[in-house]
Amino acid sequence: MGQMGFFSFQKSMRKRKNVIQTASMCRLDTDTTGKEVDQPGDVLSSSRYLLGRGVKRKRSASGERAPGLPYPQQRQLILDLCLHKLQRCYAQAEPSLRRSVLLANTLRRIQDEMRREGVDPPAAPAPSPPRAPTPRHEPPPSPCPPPPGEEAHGPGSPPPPPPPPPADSLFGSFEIANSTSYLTDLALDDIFEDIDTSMYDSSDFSALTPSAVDEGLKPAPACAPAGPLQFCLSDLNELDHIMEVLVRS
Amino acid sequence: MGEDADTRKINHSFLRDYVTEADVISTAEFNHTGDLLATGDKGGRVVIFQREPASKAESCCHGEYNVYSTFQSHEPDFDYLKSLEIEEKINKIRWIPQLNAAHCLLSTNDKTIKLWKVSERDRRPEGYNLKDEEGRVKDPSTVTALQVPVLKHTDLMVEVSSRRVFANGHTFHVNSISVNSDCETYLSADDLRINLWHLDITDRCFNIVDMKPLNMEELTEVITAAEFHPQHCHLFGYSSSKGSIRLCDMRAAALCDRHAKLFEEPEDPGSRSFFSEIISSISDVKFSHSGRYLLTRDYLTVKVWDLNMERGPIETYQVHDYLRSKLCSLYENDCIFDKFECAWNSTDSVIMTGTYNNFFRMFDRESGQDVTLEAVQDSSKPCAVLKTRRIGSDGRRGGRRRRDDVSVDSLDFSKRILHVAWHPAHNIIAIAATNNLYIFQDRAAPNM
Repeated sequence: MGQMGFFSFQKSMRKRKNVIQTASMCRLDTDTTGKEVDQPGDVLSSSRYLLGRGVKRKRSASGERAPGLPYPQQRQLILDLCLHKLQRCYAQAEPSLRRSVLLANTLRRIQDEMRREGVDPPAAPAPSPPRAPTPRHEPPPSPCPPPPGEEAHGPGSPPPPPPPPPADSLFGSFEIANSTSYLTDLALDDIFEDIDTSMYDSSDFSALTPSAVDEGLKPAPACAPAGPLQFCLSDLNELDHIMEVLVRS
Repeated sequence: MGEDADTRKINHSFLRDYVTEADVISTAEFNHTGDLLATGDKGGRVVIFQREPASKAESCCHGEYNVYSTFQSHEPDFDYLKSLEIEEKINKIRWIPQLNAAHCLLSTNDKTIKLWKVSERDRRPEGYNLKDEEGRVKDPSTVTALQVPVLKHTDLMVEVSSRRVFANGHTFHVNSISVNSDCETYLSADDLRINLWHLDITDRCFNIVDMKPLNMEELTEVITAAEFHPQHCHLFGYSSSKGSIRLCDMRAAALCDRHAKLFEEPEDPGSRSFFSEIISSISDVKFSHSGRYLLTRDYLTVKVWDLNMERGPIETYQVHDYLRSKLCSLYENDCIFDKFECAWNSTDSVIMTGTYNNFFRMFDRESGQDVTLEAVQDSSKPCAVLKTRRIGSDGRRGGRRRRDDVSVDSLDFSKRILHVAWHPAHNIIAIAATNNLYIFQDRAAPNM
């Protein structure tokens, strides 16, 4: 039907510098060739998060894809897209903050809805920037004890079972995978702190260090429910503490 | 505003036609008299067009706009501390009210705002006693008579010079600048902060709004646009990604984190979807010329707000409601994040905004009529009338289709009209369609 025509025009979309060409313009249920330019080969390539690779969806008779899907599948599709886009955001040179915030809010909303229904929501993608952190990519400041927090949520929800372990371990695995990179970034900041900064632009520098360093090393007692942008890990807190002791002594 | 054919006669000037990425127009702005139109592009260049005086032969037709000056405003930069490129794309241009013969404008990229002075030189002194025609120094002994140097006309030269560079005020991407009605200060807004600058002082600015939370992970809302009130120098408004507009009074406090007024429409529970928040994000906010109203653009609508009523807009216009059922696809291909601008006409009776397929829309607030027009060049008819376009309704819903209706499924989503500007006094509009700039005028009612 007309859906074909709708998508075919996307191919002429102009290439933008520093933006990965979006090939999700092709329908997600078709072949996997000629897809995304970049697919980072990390944990996120697990089958749970692959998009456009054999994600089966029904095609309704009317031809309109999303509205024809049953609600949970629709929601899952959008959730997957959210995660995928957020992941690409972090991989970009300097992602648009507005876009990231809108994606994160949508993701959070879907996750909350899924939690209310007792369904296990996949965790948010972890930002693993290859560069020094921008204000956007500040390391998570408020680690909370995840298992007790998550478990407390369980008894609250009526018929569905307590939060299943797979979610926590996946979430946890993201943290572990990323704590190294966070650690590296934090270490860099600590080192920079001792350097004479008069040659640097003062405002740029102040934008980077206080937030990145202070918030990263400050132990926060709050135990907030894990959101898409909060990556809580008690291990990270301990490592922070150790680094702080080592560097500041 | 009438239907197609004859009522709108347009003088059609097709001014730029490039194909490279750097030439994508990223902003367009008329100056306060409308005689100058400045455009900025992704390559960091600014092109200023000047309106030629209207020829006597066509009394009701305004003059054409021709290139007046071109200069490189911003260069690509590199932030060594964060190892990030800073784009040279011009995000906004704003003219400063003219105080003398020179014209001044502010242009900004993601990080740095610059003040440029555009001045004309059409005379030069001739007849020096000690220098000859080429400027070489003459031997004083050869001078036998004295003459007084006179100013002679030369070809017009337009000189552009950088007068101020307002750097290091922002750590996030600057999305708006707005000159205050006091003509001495201006504001610049990035995703989380708004700064107040004095036009003459570059090493200091005041932070007047700070939305950055202590914990960045708690961030849920960003600033999307900001503007000073056209008459009251102490009032400014800014819009957010959550669809609200805040009006702030600088007399109340140094840091205007607490708004004087908050304009927010309660969400309609019936139309809630996954994309509700994304499509409610406001992409542009403009005060009316009268200062009484606010115009906002979100993804599917333009809304007019009365500054005296905070609970909701007084008017809502559907820009492209046929996209409401396509939101999922638009989300997939990222079109849902497009930021469209909007504009008022000189009397605040008509509002305009762009959409896809090189179409733009105008809404007449008084008559309630609206029209869709296409920014396209018909080289065979340089002064052709713009044809009204219609997006065809779905056959299933039983709407009537005209032969030249455009079907929703054949819309070209790469041809988006994000930037529009309206002449401050006349019915002349500037439409930026990717690489091309179109200037249209209404011959039927040129001065409305």
